[in-house]
This record gives sequence, structure tokens and C-alpha cells, in this order.
Amino acid sequence: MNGVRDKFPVLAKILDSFSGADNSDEQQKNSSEVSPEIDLSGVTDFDACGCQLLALFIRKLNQGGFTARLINLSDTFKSKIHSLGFDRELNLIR
Amino acid sequence: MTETGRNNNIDLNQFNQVFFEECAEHLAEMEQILVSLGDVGPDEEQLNAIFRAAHSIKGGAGIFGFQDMTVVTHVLESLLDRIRNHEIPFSAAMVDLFLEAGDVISMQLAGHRDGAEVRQEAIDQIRVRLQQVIDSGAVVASVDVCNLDKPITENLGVHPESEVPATACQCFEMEFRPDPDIFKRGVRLESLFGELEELGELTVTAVLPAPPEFNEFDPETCACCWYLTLITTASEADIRDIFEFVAEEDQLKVQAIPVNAASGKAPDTAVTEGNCTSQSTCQADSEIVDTAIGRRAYDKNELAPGAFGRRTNEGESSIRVGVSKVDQLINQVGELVITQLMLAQTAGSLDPVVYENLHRSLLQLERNTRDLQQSVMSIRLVPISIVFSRFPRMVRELAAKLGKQVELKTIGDSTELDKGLIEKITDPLTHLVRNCMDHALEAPAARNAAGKDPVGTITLRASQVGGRIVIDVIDDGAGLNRTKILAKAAERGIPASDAMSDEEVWQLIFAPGFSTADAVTDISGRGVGMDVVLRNVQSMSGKVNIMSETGKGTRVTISLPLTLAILDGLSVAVGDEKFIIPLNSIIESLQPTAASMKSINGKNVVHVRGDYIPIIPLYELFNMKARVTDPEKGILVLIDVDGEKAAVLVDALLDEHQVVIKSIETNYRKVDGTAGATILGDGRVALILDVNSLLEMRKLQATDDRSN
Repeated sequence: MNGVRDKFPVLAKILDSFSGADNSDEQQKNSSEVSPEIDLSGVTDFDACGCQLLALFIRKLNQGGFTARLINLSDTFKSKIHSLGFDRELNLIR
Repeated sequence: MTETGRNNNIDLNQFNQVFFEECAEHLAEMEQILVSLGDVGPDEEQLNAIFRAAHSIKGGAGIFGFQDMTVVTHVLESLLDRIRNHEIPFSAAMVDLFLEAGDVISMQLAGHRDGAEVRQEAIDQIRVRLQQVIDSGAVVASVDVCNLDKPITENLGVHPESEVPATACQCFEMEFRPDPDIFKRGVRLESLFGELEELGELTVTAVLPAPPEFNEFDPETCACCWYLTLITTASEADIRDIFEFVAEEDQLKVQAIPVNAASGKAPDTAVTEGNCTSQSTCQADSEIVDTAIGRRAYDKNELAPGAFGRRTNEGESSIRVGVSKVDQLINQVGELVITQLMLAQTAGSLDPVVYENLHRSLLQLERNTRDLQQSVMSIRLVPISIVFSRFPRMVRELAAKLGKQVELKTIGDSTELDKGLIEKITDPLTHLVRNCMDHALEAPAARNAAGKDPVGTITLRASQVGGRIVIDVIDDGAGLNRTKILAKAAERGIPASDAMSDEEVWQLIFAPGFSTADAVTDISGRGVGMDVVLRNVQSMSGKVNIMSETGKGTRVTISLPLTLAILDGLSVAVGDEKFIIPLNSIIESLQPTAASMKSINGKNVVHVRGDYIPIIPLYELFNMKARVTDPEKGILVLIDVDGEKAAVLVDALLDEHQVVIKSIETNYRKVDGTAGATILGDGRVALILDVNSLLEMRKLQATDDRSN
């Protein structure tokens, strides 16, 4: 749980940058084609609290029309996300 | 989420502490029951209580992430379950095995709590030995080292397939809406779901039902809920038991649905992954489920409140508070008492008729302050059973070692004593009990020959007498040997004579290094102890008395003040200063006549009822200017310290107070002859006299005078 408070402002800033993007019709149209990638290669461990924060972040991106994708996710982490039930919230099930 | 090198446990420490304390309590409870059994098997209630303790430790360890602690407790509870189901007969040898298992769990606990060394081989050995009992139905003394290499899961208490009751497969749908601060509490949902998974086939789906605005979101608050589906032969009680420490009743909904009906049914949200699978899946996985059920079959019928690790109402009616917080509260109430005294003193100079209302209110304030002080002081009081409870096992093991038969009786277990005193009294009591076991109680043959019951008795009795707590350690052994003690005293050059009363002779055993034991054993006999007992008790402002009768036994009585934080004292004046003399050491006060005053070796003594009592002029001891230097014009306060008397010369007696003791050392430095200080109603500091050290100072002064 410790890391989530540190990560929070970073994620909030990223979300701001996405929501602050040009909202022209063209941009709206293209946004669904933009698929931000969330690189988890630097993450060594996480728990349900971390999953929840990531899920909320992805949900907010979805609401903005962006479909985020997790990359560099090890099998161990996939299994952990599955055991915590966050597959759907983290877009791991299509 | 956590990055490399970050410590993931910092915030969990305060919650871990709660687990550590609860775990220690469960272990103590388990040990207490086990040692009370003797050769008699436990009754159902006792067995349940031991099981409950093991089960609670395992549950807590799993939730707080101390998985290693679940290993021994798991096999232990499996074995207890077999005994409970009469599948394995109970034997006396199992008590030792269970006690050893408790020791191993204690070691693991100390490892997590204090960073103490944890011996993995001890854990493996006890696990294998417990498992061997499960497998063979009897305690095996030696450990099959080959088994140590087996993975833990192979050794867990899995019932053979033939023994597993054929139970219908059920599908449970659960909706788990945890407390928002579940993450802050350090609950590990991975462990929780992992334990559920051991019951059968589990699917978990997390849902963020109403996602808050990101910027307004507290990332450490749980906003998720979980939908879980479990296909299992376990019961709803089994499932609820896993959530026992995590969810209140309204936070977990469990619904059993027939396996056929489960197919295709979805929870309210658009969750489809969490649905039950078909019966065929259930059957296909029956082996896994059966294995899991076999492991947890003992968890049946746990619906009753308080049964099998469930928290009872009693547990919820108390809260744990750090000692430092209580001490802070006591300190603050002490300050309040002083302020109230100041107000009362100021108001004392005001006309009681004109200020009648003020005086009435101040009286009310005084009553309320006293009540508050007593209530707060009572928070620090804890039952002496905390100390007494450690002796049954010690007595049991020492009796076995010494080849003696001993029964330990405790009386007044609920007598309450200040927590600080409880910690300090443990060592002296331990020493006294060991002495009883080793020296006082005779071997069964000797007892038989003396016409006594071969089973000796040690009684620990606690009671409150006035403002003091009296603890007796009584044995029905051989009693103290007067001749032997006198001979030993003469041998060691300690002044003693045949004319001494029994009481005086018994006091000789408190001399440093004094021992009448014929042989030194690893239990006692080295002569290191009784002097330490006396010193420890005296450091708590306590007294030790001995009564003994040859052939019948000995009674050692320890008398302690109820608390160390407040003191009943008499304020006296010397010059411009005020001192507090503890009331419990005062015999009387008197104004001597010229006829009663004598001088021996140049020192003044007063003749009181046949005794010549030395006079201690306080002004001399503290190098002060006094108004009265002639004892005939002042007041002598007679004090008694362990039978030794002295007369303290003061200018005047002032008042009787209940004073709050403040440490001088913390705020200034150690002052000889004092036990602390207090703040009086007029705001001035008064030193509290330490009568023990006053006598010491007088003796030192006398020695110096002689040598000069």
C-alpha cells in the first residue's frame, strides 16, 4: 500500500495531460484509436490497493475515450491480478 | 504499488503489534490449559479452547502475512481436530508435544516481533512430530529426518480419501464490500482469497462500483467491492470463518445456490467471469475440493458465538491502549490534582460567606478530581493472574525434573496490581517458587516417611489489604532449618546467635550469597537470589516477611503498594522547606521530653517504650537551616523500615496528602534520601523522603564520624 500515495500525483498529472488535450472533433474521433501503454517493468510488487489505483486510472482514461493497455506484465503479476479479481478492471480481459 | 527497495511494511507495524499481543495471549491460554491437564485428558471445552487458540493464531498470522507461523499451527489444529473427533486417543505425552509446539510458535512470534533468532530445524521437527502423531496416532519421540525434506503440503493434516465424508458440492456466491480502511489496516486480500481457494474452485472479480473523481480520491481508501464464486463442499460457516477477522457481518453476503442453477447466473453488475461453473467442473475438481475439505473438516459447526476462533463479545468490549498513553493521562490528571489543590489553597483565604458558591464549586471540583484520579489509576491495574499463569508450566517441568510430585494452587488471581509492579514482581516470585520446588518440598518417599501426602503443595495467594497488595508463597515442605541457618551464618561471619528469635533467624537468608543447600543444582542453591528478591521487592517500596515451621512448611509474604504513581504521605516542615514522609512507614509522631532523650556514642537517641531509637535530624542530612535543632522543641516522626526504627526530627507536622510522585532524576538529578518529588497546592516542590535510604545515609554518616 505504501507506494500508492507516491504514485498518485504522478498519475493525476498524466490524467490531466490527457483531459487537457485538444478536444476538437478530429481529436475526439481519434482518441479511441489512441491506446496509451502503461509500462509495468519497474514495478516489483503490488497489492489490492495498488491494483485499485491502477484500475481507477484506467477507468478514467476509458472515460476520456482512451483505452489503456498494460505492457511488460510478467506472468506472476498476471496471476496475482487474476487472484485479486482485477482482470476486467485492468483491461486484461477483452 | 511498490518499487524496488521500498519497504512495504512500515505502515503495518501498529497492526502487527495487535496481532503480536493477541498471539501471545492465545499462546498463554493454550499453555495454561495444557499444564492444568496433568495426566487427565482434556474435556471437550478445554480441547475446543486449545483448538480456538491455535486456530486464531493461524488466522491472524495468515491475514497479517506471517505465513511461516501458519505452518505449525495448521498441523497442530489438524491433530487437535482428530483428537476432538476421537480418531486419535489423547495421551499425556501429547501435552509435552503441544507445549513444545507452543514454544516453537512463540519463537516464530519473537522472530517477527523482536527480530529474535528463529531456528528453522525446530519448526521442521515439531511439524514432523505433530504430523507423525496424525499419521500413527501416537507420539513419536524421535523425528524421522527423511520427512523433513517433504514439502509442507504433503505433511499437512490431509485426511485419507476414505475418511472424507461425502458431502454435496455447493456453489456459493459472495458479495464482499470491505471496510473503506481495510488497506490501511494492513489486511492482505491475497492471503484471504488464497485461503478461500483452498476450499474449492474460486473465481474473483473486483469492481469499482462508483468510481470517484480521481483528484478527490484517497488512494489508500478501498472503494472496490468483490464478487466471488466458490464451488466447494465446505459450509457457509467455513467461508464466514475465513472472513472472521476481516469483515463485519453486513460486509459479506453469502448465498448458497445449487450447482446446476449456478450455471449462467450473474451478479448484479456486468460480471460474468465470476459465475459458477457447471456441476461437471465441480466433479472434475472433486479431488482438489475433497482434499481441501479434508483439511478443513474440523471447521464444521462453528456458528456458535465464541466457538473456534470466533471473537466473543467480551473481546469486543475492550480496547488496547499503549502504556505510554495511559501514563500520559495519569500525569495530566496528576497536574489537574495539583491545580485543584492550588485553587483550594487560594480560595481558603477568601471569605466563606461572601464566596459561598465558589467554595461549594471547589468542593465539587475536589470530589470530581479525586474520582477521576482513581478511575485513571485503575486503568494501569492488571490482574496478577498474568504473573501466576506462568507458574503451572514451570512447576510441572521442574517437578518432572526433580522427581517430585507437586500441586500448584493459586488464590486471588483477579487481584489487581499496577502494571509496573506486575513486571517487577515476576522475577522475585519465580525465584521463590523455584526455591520451594528445589529446597522446601521433599521427595515423595521422604514425605511418605514423614506421614505427609506424597504430593506437595505450593500455594500462590494474592489479596488486597488496605492500600497494599499482599502476595503469599506458601509451601507445605520441610520448613526452614534454624540450626543449619545459624551454622551457615556463623561460617560466613554473619552476626547471629542462638538467642535470636525465629523471625530474626529467617531474615538471615536474605544476606547476599547465603545458601544452606547441600548441593548446587541448576535450579537453585547458589545463594544468589533471596537477597535479590529482597532488593527487588524493596525497590518497589515493598516488604518481605518469612514464617516457617519445621516439618510443616514456609510462608513468604510480599507486601507491595497498590501503585507507584501516587502516595499517601505526611507533609512536614524543616526550615523553609516541606518534605513528604510516606504514611506507610510512619509508626507515630511525638514530642520528646528531656527525660526520654539520651546520648549514645555522641548520637542522640530517644527512649520510646523500652527501645532506644536513633534520631535523624533532617536539617543535618540535607544541610539546611532549621528553625528547630533541639529535639525537645521539635517533633520526632518515628519510622519503621523492615523492623529497623528511626526518629526523624522535623520542625512541625503540616498535613496528610495523597501526592502525585514526580521523578526528580528526569527533571534534575538523583537526590540522596529522596524517592521523588511532588508539587504542593501552593505550587512549591516538596521532596518525598525515601526512608530506606535515609537510614542508609545515617549509617554512612555514623561510620564517617567514627573514622574521623
